[in-house]
Parts: sequence; structure tokens; C-alpha cells
Amino acid sequence: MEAAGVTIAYKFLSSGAVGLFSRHRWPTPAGGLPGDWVSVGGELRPCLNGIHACSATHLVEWLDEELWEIELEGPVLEDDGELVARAGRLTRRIEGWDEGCARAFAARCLNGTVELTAESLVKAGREREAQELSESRSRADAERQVVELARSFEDDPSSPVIFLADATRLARGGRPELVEEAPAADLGGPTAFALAANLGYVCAHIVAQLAEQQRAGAYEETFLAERRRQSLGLAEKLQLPR
Amino acid sequence: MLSCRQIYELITEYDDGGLSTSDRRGFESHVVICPPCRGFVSQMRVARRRVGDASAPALPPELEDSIVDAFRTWKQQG
Repeated sequence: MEAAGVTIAYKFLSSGAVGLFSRHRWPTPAGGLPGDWVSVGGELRPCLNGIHACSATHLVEWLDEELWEIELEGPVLEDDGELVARAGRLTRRIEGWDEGCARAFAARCLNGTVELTAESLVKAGREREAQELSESRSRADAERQVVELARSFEDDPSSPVIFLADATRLARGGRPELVEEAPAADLGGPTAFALAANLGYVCAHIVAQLAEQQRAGAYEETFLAERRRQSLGLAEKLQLPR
Repeated sequence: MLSCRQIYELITEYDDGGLSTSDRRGFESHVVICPPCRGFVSQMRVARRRVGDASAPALPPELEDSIVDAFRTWKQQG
């Protein structure tokens, strides 16, 4: 799809307004004025050449430390939620996107997924496990609780409960295959923003897997719908115009 | 979605611009959601930059000749 004129979109950048992949340091707004225009020559090609941004419906696919509103100029290519333009400039930083917001996003994803998984256990006649799972959310040792619960599902490696155990480990910066504590962010451990990106993806996978259990072939559409739901929920929290 | 192992294998090609658009998209989609691969990509870039910045000391001509001779001899024997 291609649109002309000026398009308002969003762009995640690493700390210091640096592109995660391009390592380009973007000129930031100053004195009430937008940042300088950044432009590219040659043919626009998604992922290869162009100013890249996303719409509010695809925020969670590109989470990073800073979120900026960006003005895109001229025709905009849209490729699976990714917007590519010839020129763009940062117009304002979305201040609401910070570590606290990233942690809250991850917690919302995890809580929602715990709830859905518990519901699926009830449907499967495993009320006791469902109750244990639901109660684990309010416990300080939630991770241990879920990991122990997952052991009773070891005969079913694709069980959402197994993935949920992974997700609880990921939520505190650990790795599914490791029991040890993860290093702190300043010692090479994942940042709150990387964790939010990770948890959002894993939780969408679990939700899609639950749907697949109910109806064969439902995975893909459910995964995409869940990612869109996460994006729109985040956009609403950040009060971004739709 | 690419695996972590594929990210390790493709990082050099990615940084050199050698991947197709779809592989590039797959690479970036993975790195965004995988904290360990984010760390790996960033460490690799630092390492490559430092190696690239390092200037190799000039070898004395006699030493360079003897190294080339030794290499040729080794190739002929191999």
C-alpha cells in the first residue's frame, strides 16, 4: 500500500535516539521545533532502504527504549505493518513509554495469559491446577509455583503451561533453560524494554496455542490478533491517537 | 521466525547488507524480541568496530618475505 502527504507514525529507538538496527542517531526536537529531516535516496525497500516506522497497531513488534512520534513525508510504503518513507523527522518523544510502562506492559501480558491458561485448564477438567495457577499470581514465589505446576505437564511438551513457566522465568530476566538468576541490565542482562518485547511475543504465542487447541488452524490469526490487541492496549495507555 | 542459532550464523551477512529483504525482516523481528540475541548483536558490532579500528603495524620487508616463503612451502607440501 502506498499513501501520499504527511503521515504521523511511531518509531522506537535505543537510548540516545539511536536506531536499533541502523545505529543512526536521530536529530531530536529542540526549542519546541521538530528534529531535522532525515532522508534517503534511491528506491524505497522495506528493511533495506528508507525511513522506517510503524503504526499504533504494530507497536509491540518494535519495542525499544525510547518511543518517538515521527512525521513521514511523501509516499509511504506499508509492508505488514511496517511503514517506509523517503523522509522523516521526530516530532516528540512519547514520555509515557519508560521502564515502568515496559514492566507494566509485560505484567499485563503475563497476567492475561495466566488467566487464559487457567480457563483452558478448567475446560480440560484440571480445576485444581487451574486454581493453583490463578492463585500463583498474587504470590511472591509465583515463578516457583508455575514451574512446579509445569512439571505435571511434562508429558505434553507443547502444553501452554510449560510455555507459561518459561514466561515467568523470562519475566524476571532469566532464561527458560537456566535456573540461575539473570545478570542485571548493566551487567549484560536484558533491559525492561527487551523483556517487554520478549514477554509480549511469548504470551501471544501461548494465547495462539490455546486457540489452536480449541480449533485446528487458529494459531496464525490468533497470534496476529493478540499482537494487535497488545499494540492497541499499549497505544491506549500511552494515549496515542489512533 | 529465525532461531537464535540462525541469528548467530547470519549476523555478519546482516551487517554487511547481504541478506534478502525477507531474511532481513526475519532477523530484525527475532532480535527485537530476544534479549540474548540483542546483546549478542550489539557485542559483535562493538568487536567488529574495534577490530576495524585497529591499525596493523607494518612488518619489516625481510619478515614479510620469510612469512610468504614459509606459507608457499607449506602450501606446496600440503
